[in-house]
Amino acid sequence: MANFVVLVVHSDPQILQQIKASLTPLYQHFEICCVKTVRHCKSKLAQYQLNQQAVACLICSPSLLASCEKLGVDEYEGPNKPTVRRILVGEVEDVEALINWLNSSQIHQFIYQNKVEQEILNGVKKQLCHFAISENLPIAQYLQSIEIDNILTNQLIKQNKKLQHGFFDYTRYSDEELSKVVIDSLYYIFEHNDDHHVCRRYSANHLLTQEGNTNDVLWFIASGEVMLKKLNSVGEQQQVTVMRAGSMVGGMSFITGEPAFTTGITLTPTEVIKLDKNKFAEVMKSHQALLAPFTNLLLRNFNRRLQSSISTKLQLEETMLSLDAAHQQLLETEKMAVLGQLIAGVAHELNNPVAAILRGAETLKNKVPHLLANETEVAIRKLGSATLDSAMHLTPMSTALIRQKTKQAQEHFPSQLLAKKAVKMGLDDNDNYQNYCAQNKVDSAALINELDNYYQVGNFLRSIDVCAKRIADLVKGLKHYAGQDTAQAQFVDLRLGIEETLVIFENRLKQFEVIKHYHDIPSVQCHAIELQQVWTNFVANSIDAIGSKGTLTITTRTIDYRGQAGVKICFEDNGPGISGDKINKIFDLNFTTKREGHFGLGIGLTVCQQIIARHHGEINVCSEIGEFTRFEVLLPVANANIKQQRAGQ
Amino acid sequence: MNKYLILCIDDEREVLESVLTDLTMFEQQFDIEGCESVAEAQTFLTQQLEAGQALALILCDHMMPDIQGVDFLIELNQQACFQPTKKILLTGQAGLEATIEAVNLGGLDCYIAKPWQAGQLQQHVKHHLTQYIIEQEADMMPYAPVLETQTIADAWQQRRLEIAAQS
Repeated sequence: MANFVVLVVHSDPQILQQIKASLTPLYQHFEICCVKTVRHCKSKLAQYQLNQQAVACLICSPSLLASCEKLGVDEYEGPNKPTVRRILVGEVEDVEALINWLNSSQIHQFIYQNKVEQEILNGVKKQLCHFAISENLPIAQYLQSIEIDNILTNQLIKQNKKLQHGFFDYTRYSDEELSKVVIDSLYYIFEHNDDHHVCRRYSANHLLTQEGNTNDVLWFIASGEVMLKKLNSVGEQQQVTVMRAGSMVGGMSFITGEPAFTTGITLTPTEVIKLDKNKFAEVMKSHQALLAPFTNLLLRNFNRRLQSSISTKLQLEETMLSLDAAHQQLLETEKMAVLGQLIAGVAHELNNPVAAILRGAETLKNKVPHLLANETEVAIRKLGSATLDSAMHLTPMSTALIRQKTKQAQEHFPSQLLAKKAVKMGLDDNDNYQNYCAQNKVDSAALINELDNYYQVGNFLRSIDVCAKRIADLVKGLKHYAGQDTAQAQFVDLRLGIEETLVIFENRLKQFEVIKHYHDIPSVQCHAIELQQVWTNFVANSIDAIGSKGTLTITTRTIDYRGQAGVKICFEDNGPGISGDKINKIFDLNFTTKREGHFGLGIGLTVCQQIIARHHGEINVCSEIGEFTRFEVLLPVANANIKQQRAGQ
Repeated sequence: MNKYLILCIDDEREVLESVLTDLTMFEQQFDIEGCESVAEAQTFLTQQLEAGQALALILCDHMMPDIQGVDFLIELNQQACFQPTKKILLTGQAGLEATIEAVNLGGLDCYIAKPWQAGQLQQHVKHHLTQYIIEQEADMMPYAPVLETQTIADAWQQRRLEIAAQS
């Protein structure tokens, strides 16, 4: 329901009809009410009062004017009491009659009855414009229904009550309304006077401003779209924003004289008002009233940009924070992955010794009760304990040697099996045994089998001992990973950490030839566990890259590092190498060449780089396809101020 | 020298000893030998082949310095004389791909994970030796006591029936 009514009261139905038809364009914003009699008029007014609608414009014949006044057309009980614009439609016989009408009531316009069709719409529009201005209506909303004429252009802005509150008080205008006021005013100004072709229509892809070039033109976009682009750091055009109807392009450079900040190019056919400096000055001089809304528009334009860049900055900060969190999470994931790899490696390393210990323990369980049963002759037990003792302490001869000796001794024993057992126990050329056999005439087979029990017990005790020591070494190597790093950097011999890392990978490195060129290096002030993570990464990478047989060469040497004592640690493998396009990316987060399912999240080397950076060192890689890959770590010896790890890292 | 050989390969002496000890129950009917490397095994096998001894079963570790167990089994399987040989992988760390390769190309019969249990290892070995003897040996009854007795007895019965049917 429209807030305002155009009330038409006329006794001539034909004129009434003509007016009604002429005013159809106003239906969008105003209610048009045409009545024939004052009585109808009265009932309508009552209804409007009820609906809180106000009469904006009264159109009537001179004869009915007085009656209408009496009805209290003006007596609208709204927040502001509007001044109803009055239009008389009739015929004037003489001047006196006109003066009478004017004096008896306020009349704003007179239209001849016979010209009503041609003039009524413009007349009403003009009056409505006055009404809108006096009533502080948002002009832009009503623009289609009101007429701004040349006198009104200035009046419109001057008379606006909002303006009277102060030069900058455009607070009640929306951005769209304000720009429409300015743009519509400009269009009006140039409508009949556009010698300089200020109002233009561009097709798509028309260049307005060029980033970096001087610009002395201001564009107002009346319709269409203009895209603003800017070169980014890698020299690509990046879209900044799309400006639409009501926006200004070139404002910044136009005002400040600085080179254009962005490149503006039309996306669609676009209607613009193009003002160069001279034309702009001319307009502002001749239509000073425009200066205020224009200045406001400009300020608002800049303010919007400022606001959007501030909110962009806030958004960026937020994004940075969440990126940081994601990065932390990735590091955690990487740590878990390293842990998983270590566990898998350790499990593999433990397998063999654990298997041997388990099997040995079971054999002992079977054999020991028999040996303790005291059923054997003392002499045999004596011989047996010597056998057990030597089996426990002597490294067993190689399987190949056992076979060779078995072959030689075979003729002296009842069977090959017994010969082999005797060889293992060293009985084939044992004088004690030979003497014992000769003296006691014992069954050689029974004796050997009996002694074999002693031998096996001794051998498995030795075996368990060896395997348990290996496990102990492994655990020692692991302790570093499990232990808490001290807050302060410690002086550490890096070769120990490298050795411990190699223990962890011992089984997986079985197929590797590990060449160590350990030159004497001083202890280095560092966080040893962090560096061990780096070595772990290098070794794991080499193993993964090579897969089967390979060579891993580890070199340590002293160097001059940035003018002070330093060390250089090299890990070089003879694997497939890294191609030139990939080698620049290997320290990037998420770069990986490992297939899915394999270990590797692509953040291992990133972490390595961060660790070395914290140690004020350098990490370098060089590689040749099919030849080698070499990682070098350079570290200063004295390194008192190593940044603490960030929490959670 | 027995007619058939069981060979175990493991580069870790302690593990090798354990395996050999667990196989003692077969030593009356089979020669049981251990090798510490694939190279040693290759030399030894060549000798035994010349001496007329057949390899009934091989029990091989996977992760070894010179040649990986799976690759050696594949190599063996390409020689006609070793094709009937029962092949067992005893390992803690053959990946899925290596194992599949061993099955497809190496004629792998069995995979035993480290650490193993004596009973389990013996059962697998016994089963595969039984199969080998039934497939390869005409006079299979002497092996019945140490192997799967019933299976061998049944196979022998079957064989006699077949022979009777032919004649």
